[in-house]
Amino acid sequence: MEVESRIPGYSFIQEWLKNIFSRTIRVSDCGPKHVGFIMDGNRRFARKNDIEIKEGHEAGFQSMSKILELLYESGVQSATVYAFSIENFKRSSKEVTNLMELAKDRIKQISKNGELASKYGIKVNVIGDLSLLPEDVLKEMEHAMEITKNNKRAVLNICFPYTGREEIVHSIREVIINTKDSKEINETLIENNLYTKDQPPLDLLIRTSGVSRLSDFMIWQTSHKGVKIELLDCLWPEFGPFRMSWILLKFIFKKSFQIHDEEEDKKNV
Amino acid sequence: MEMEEIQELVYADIRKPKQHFKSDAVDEVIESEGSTLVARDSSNSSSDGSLRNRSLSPSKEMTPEMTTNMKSSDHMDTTDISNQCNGKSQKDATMEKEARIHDKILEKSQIPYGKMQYSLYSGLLVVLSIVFVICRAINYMLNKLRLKISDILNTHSHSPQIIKHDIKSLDKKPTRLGAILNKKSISEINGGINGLLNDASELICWTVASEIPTIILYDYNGQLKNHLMELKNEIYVKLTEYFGKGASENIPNYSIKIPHSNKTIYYDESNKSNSCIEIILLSSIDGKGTIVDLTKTMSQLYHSNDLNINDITVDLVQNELTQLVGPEPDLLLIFSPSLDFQDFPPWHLRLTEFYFEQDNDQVTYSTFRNGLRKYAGCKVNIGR
Repeated sequence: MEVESRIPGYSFIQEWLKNIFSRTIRVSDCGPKHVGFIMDGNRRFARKNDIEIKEGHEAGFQSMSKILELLYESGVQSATVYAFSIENFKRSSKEVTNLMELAKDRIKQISKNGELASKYGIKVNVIGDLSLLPEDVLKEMEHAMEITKNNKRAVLNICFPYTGREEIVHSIREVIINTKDSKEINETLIENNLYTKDQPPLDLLIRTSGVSRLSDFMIWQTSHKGVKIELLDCLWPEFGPFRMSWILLKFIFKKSFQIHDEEEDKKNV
Repeated sequence: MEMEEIQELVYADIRKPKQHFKSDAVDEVIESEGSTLVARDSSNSSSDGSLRNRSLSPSKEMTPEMTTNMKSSDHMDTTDISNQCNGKSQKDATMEKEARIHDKILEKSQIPYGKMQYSLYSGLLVVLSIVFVICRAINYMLNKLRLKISDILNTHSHSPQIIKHDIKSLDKKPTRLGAILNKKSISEINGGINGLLNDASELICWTVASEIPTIILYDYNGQLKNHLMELKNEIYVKLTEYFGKGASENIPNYSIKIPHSNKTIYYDESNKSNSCIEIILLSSIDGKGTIVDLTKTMSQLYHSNDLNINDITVDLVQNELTQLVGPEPDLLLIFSPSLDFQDFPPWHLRLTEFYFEQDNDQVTYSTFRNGLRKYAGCKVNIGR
């Protein structure tokens, strides 16, 4: 933060680099289409830098906006962020209330005119077991979904409150209610009833803070063969567009090699 | 694909949107036509190749009409370009513009690529690619070196005592260990089905020596399940190497379970209670396929009014899947060069800690030991 303000034109140069890079990624046509994030480490970042937890969350939000901008510019059609797990309700009631208030502010901030959502034509999609939310928060979420529903360019899924197992069970229920003949049930049908239906399949998952667990996030989608998973040691607010760029390059490379390999395999068969 | 063929295809693609241009769904037509083109392009060559194709072709062999279509294939804004290079379709272009008028902001943020810009970015991509390849090559070599050193430092010399000693110093160890194994191509060292059986048996010996009671072995194609008897014998041979130095009665008894066919075999059928380790074999059919089967069963129950929809909860599915597939592993070791779950049962990945080593494709004791070390060093706290 401090460095940025000291160098004149820093943000301008950053913006310029970002544009060039994202266009380059688009030209390659091999970039990811759906990226998932587990944004770990806001609180640890606050403790480490001796700032308030609230400010840590703020830094995390800033970092998220920057990353999302880069991704949407690079042709990503769908991003999913893990904001709140159903298990998080187990935290102290004070903290839960704080997080709910925070979420209300954030969702307003994202969907407000001229901010992230309208700037990039993003449809905000709050997914999870919404029945668990307090009424005022739910109202705010529904409002955000309503005003962004006509945006078509990209989707931002906010998992709030969400667990991957709940998502699978939810899908199973939908399938059972809507299918008369049990013979018609298959993998695709279950997949098409997940919260992330109608979107490109997840192809990249990023988790920060050096934790190597999925913590019940998009378990169905991530287990697919070929989904790339990136585990990073840095805390989420420290994760910037530069690291993201490196990951994108890596992704493009793996993907173009993968296509090559698959062709070789076909030839060998 | 030959150039003529591509041209024919492109022509065919051009005709179609032209006919539909007057309709409301201009965007959709262009998008879908575009995507077929892209798919064809990218499946034909790696990113570099397809790039070359595309950046060369408009200038030499393609008519301006085709250029327009090629551009649209990259999901970019076609309006400006078609205005520039195609006089005939100007009317169509204006219509298209009208259709897009509600998305004005959207249009602004999309990039109207000129030919110059396009080649500039392609060039930049090539430069970035070269830089990336160099960095990655160095990274790869360092990783391999690190693995080699780690391999030398972590020797067990087939002695259960050394392994036991290594593991004893750890604060905690998993009760259920999982591993994703890959059959390597037969031309490689330790490749083919024998290599896979060998890897699996070695791993089982280390697990027995670490006194971990359950191991879940996963391979995508179910090769281990198909070679059950060979596996059973191979494990015995390996256990003899590790434990049978004194006398044959030191060799621990073991059970192999295949949940999908509900089958369990013991090495020593007469002494079932004395089994040291339970080996569970899984493959891709135990994952999503089993969830589909469970859904089918519940659907039948629901339609015959034997099951209320509100009774289908996370706990119910958890109970059923634990019976059908088995327990969730605490630690999952992935013995492949990159992190890929390869359709491992999704339900069982919830809180599983996973461990892999970049660029490593061997099943080595050092990876096993490092994985357990990492597991011991991390706290698991649900939701807090």
